[in-house]
Amino acid sequence: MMSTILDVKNLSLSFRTDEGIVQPVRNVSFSLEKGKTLGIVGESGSGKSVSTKAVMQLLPSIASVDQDAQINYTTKSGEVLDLSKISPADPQMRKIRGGEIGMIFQEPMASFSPIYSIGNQIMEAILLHRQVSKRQAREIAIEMLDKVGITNPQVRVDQFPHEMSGGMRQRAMIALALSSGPQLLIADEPTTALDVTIQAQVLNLMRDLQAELGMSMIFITHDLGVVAQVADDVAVMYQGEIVEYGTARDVIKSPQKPYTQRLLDAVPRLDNVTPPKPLKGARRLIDVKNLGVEFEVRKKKMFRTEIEKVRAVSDVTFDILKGETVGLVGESGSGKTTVGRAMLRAIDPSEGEVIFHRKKKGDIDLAHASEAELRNVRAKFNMAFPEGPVSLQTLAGDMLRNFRPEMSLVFQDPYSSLNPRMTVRDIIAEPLVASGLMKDRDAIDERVREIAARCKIDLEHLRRFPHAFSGGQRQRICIARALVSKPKFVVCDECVSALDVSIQAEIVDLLRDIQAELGVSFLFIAHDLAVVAQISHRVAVMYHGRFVEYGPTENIFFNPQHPYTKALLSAVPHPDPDAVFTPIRIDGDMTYPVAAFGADGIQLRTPSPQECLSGLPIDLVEVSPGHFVACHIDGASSHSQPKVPELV
Amino acid sequence: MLRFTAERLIGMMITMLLVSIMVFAIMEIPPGDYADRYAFRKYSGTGVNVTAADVEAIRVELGLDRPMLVRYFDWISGIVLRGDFGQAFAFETSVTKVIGDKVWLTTGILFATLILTYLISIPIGIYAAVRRGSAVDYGLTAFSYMGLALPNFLLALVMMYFANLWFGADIGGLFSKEYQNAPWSLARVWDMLKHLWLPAVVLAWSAVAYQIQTVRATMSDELNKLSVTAARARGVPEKKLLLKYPARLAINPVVSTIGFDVNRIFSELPIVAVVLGLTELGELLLKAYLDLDMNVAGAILLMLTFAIVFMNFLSDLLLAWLDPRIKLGTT
Repeated sequence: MMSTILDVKNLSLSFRTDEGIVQPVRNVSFSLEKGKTLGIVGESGSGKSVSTKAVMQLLPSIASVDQDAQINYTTKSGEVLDLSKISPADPQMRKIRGGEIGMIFQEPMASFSPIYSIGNQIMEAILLHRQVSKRQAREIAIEMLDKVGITNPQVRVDQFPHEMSGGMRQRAMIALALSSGPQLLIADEPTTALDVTIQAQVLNLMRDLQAELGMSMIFITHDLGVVAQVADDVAVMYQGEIVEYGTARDVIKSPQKPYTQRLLDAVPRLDNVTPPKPLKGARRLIDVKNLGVEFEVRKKKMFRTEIEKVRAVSDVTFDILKGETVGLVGESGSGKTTVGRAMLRAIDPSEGEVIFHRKKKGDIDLAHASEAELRNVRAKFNMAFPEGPVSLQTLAGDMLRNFRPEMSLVFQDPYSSLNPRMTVRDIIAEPLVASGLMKDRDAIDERVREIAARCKIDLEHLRRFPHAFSGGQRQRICIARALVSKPKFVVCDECVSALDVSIQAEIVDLLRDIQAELGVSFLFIAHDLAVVAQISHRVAVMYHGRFVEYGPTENIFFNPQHPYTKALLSAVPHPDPDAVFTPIRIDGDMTYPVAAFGADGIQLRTPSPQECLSGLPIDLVEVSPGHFVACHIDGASSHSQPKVPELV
Repeated sequence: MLRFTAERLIGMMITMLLVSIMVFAIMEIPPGDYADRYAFRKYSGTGVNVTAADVEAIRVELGLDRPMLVRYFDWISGIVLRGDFGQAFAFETSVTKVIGDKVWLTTGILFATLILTYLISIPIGIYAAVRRGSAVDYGLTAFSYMGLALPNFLLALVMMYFANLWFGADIGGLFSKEYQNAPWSLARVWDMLKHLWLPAVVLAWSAVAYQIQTVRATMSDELNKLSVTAARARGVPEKKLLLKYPARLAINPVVSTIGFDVNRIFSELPIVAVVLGLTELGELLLKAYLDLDMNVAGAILLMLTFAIVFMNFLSDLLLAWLDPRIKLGTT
């Protein structure tokens, strides 16, 4: 028989703010049975995180739990306590925190204190809740680290958080939360900050550990795909209330409430996406040839500075057509952002070319043109290449500045990429002013209004400052700023990653509309594969600074050839409770089959991660029209044993 | 840690070498040298006509005619090898004798002030941050601004008045009359401590006000960190939690400015010393400059910079211990 471990009834929270009392959570009720997982889904600000903080009494000091709320928790010894009636300072509460209920957080970097070793903090939890000696606690800590799949735990236990990668830190955090033996684990967006492949590993780990320890779990996330994979029950929260609550299958497969339906519709789904068809007959706008970027890292030694070169991007070749969106996917550190910035010459490429093809501009009457326009035109005369291909790499200083208005960048974080001291109008106008493209205030105003209207920004808002706007509105401002100089090419660097799914969908639609209207080309950099699939005509997959696969979106997503692409795709959880989730572990489960046959019938094999990192020449081989896969000829590689060929 | 310490030690030595060269150069800058001054003092009022040759003879006698480089090496090797800072011309005795006790008195005031500053400001700053927005917090902030606004010498006068009123006479100076010229003994040290608190409080006043604000600001930031919430979520008792996690990082900026505090105390010391009737190094430094007694001035400058460099070294070590991420920057 199932027993209830947590029963929350009529939970309402009040926050005392400068604007008076705010209720971020109203009348929330849910219950959790032993050994089960409850998923709480919702967009930012829906109150999903703060309601679980109320369970742990971790609310900020301005918050209070309303009187008629009940948080009935059944302890390990079978006692039922109403946590809402216990003071946070009560020793009983301290025993519950960590000992009965464990918690893991979204940011694995920030949830460990940087000044103590991982082991110190895990042992702290063990010593607080278990009657063991220091040495035993250390043994347990090492054992737990081993259990969560951290290799070499004897060494890792003494390391500091900054010496570990994000995925490893989140594993360590899970080890910490479980080491004091809780029967309930609250996981607040535990995989949101992680790469999709690491997320898959962590999800599997949590699932295995839950089964092994018989734990119950509350899993807070905005990702419906994740919820579909882990949760038994789902509560959908919207503006502080639970709008739908039921089994995962019921809620996801047949949602009853319109909000749930909207949320589900907004989620881009890899298993149900129709990517844009490749463009036909469009002219080439940009040619990237053998682009490589090396960073110099200065290392201070006692009396000298050593310069170490770190390769960020090697041998990247592709093109972008006019009006096309090319998606760039890969995990963090794979070099996506570097490629985008090198194309705009925000950083200097070490080798290769970026060629920007320009069509002859329309006629201009120099006798009647304004001074500003004249200067603008003169600037173009001054350039060595008034028309035709311009190699961006050979442009420098003034010439590059004159050129920039033709290209633009949209950043990931809409909060930090807008200057809080400038009005929206000034922010959008900045590229025009900075480049000297337009001088006349009225003309600038007119252009700003035109582009703001196109980006669906309320013209009344132009006089306001950015702090008054939400993430989605800010991102519209960022996009308007990128488009105001009428560029031919815009790099969108993770420009929807920080947004809620519904806003994300709006921005994706906006980008599509603008592309259709203005014929602008996008380089769309994102780690979210489903969003990329929605918007991109072609996609390139990056791994360790190289393109491993490149081609029409359909081919990449539905007929991937490279093992890394396959692993990446397998790691995406689909918002479908019936889907089988079997992520391929990179390197561990990867096989390197023959990808293609070369011109002479020589077998071409896809390279392993180690080979991607090494300086070995790797070619992109065309396996079907326009679809390229990284390969190298087995005979040419001296050190690796070819694997048994398998047919793909 | 060993490597870090070794690196910092070597860096400190190089700094000291450069500082000594600079101090020596400063000693050379004023026009004329001590030979002129000496001749003037020796023969003025005696009716003797002093010729350029006489001055030159004095110059040779004092060794001031040798090239600069030779004199520098002579000077610095004396200091490093024998602890000999050369002759204090105005006093016709060695610099070591002139400075002598004053070094210890100044050092005493310096450390007493530093310790007092940190003992008061760190706990109060932490407390103010934890009770942010409470009446206590606002009160402390008001006090801080007052502390920053009040000039030192005024505070010294007021304090002396009240100290006199409450603790009886004889609060100025660093020793009671009977110990003024007595040899060092436990009783004399005790007597010094009884007098030390007043200059220490006066000098610490503004530093406390400033550091409370620093600690409060850093502590407030640290309190909101996720790692603190995470520690709370694993059941760490509140007091232990505050001291173990945010407090340790909150004293970081205080520790990293120890060198500045030393410098500030030393520059404020002369005025306070004049008001309180103390005889310490700052006053002597001023006098030495007026007399062009560059050996004394140089010795004091060198000691002061050594104190600052050494305190910076200490603060580096402390910082590396407080925050393990700091070591990474050097390797």
